Amino acid sequence: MLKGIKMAEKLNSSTYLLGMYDNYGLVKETKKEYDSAFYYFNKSLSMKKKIRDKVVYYLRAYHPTQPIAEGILTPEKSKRKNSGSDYAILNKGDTIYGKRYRSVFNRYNIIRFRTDTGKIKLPLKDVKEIYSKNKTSWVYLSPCDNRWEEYTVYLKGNVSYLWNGGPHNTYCSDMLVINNEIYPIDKHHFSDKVWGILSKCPEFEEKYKAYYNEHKDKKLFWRTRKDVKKWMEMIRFYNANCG
Amino acid sequence: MIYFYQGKYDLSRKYFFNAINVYEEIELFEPAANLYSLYGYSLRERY
Repeated sequence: MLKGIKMAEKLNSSTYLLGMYDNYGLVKETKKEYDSAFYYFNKSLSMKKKIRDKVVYYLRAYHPTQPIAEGILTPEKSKRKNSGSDYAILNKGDTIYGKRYRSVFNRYNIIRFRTDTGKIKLPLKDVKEIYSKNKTSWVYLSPCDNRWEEYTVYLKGNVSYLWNGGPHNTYCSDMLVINNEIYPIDKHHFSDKVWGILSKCPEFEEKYKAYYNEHKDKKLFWRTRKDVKKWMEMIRFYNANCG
Repeated sequence: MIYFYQGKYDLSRKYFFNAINVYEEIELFEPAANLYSLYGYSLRERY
């Protein structure tokens, strides 16, 4: 190890030296030579600080055959001017901070972020959650047209209420998420399936049975603000009293 | 590294030093230094 360290020191190769000092510190720690261990750990840390070693990596690493993003990503929230409070959580668990922006050539299946290390394009299918303009959105494969869509989260809990921003007369514009499964609100109020799940809670069933019986056969061609308000009230009640 | 994890330490050592020789021949001293360091570190894992 020392031979390697000496060589790297001679070449002034800071990238390799960082790891070498760290590893050598660990060797010293194993030997219970704590003073030496501290010396090498400290040396490695001060070098890291000096070159501002951020954990910068390519997303390419997670998809060896198919790069899912272009550019370099910073997993830490940056304090530079380009970084905003927006973020995207990927399906792999990483979070990308930056400022979301929309291009003139906007494509529905791609979201764009401006980070302090450059611009980045992310395919929607690889993103789990987006936070932008004080709103949280979740990404799901739309059951209607089989494409990835962003749904804004209006209520979050055991039952979550999402809306994709489209007109309320289209199927799949509103959705419920229960135990990570999606249930589109179709041309009925709550579907029998959804009602079946929610009515397992006796308090909920008692309170809204009359409403369900009244509306179960009615078809909806345009959801009014009143409908949405009622659903949100029901979901809020369920989240507060059931589950 | 694969031989190392298989417990075939002699073969592992052989290929480590082969790699180091190749790096030194083509004058890539940084990776060579890294390999020396890694070899030393792998001894720590062994004992």
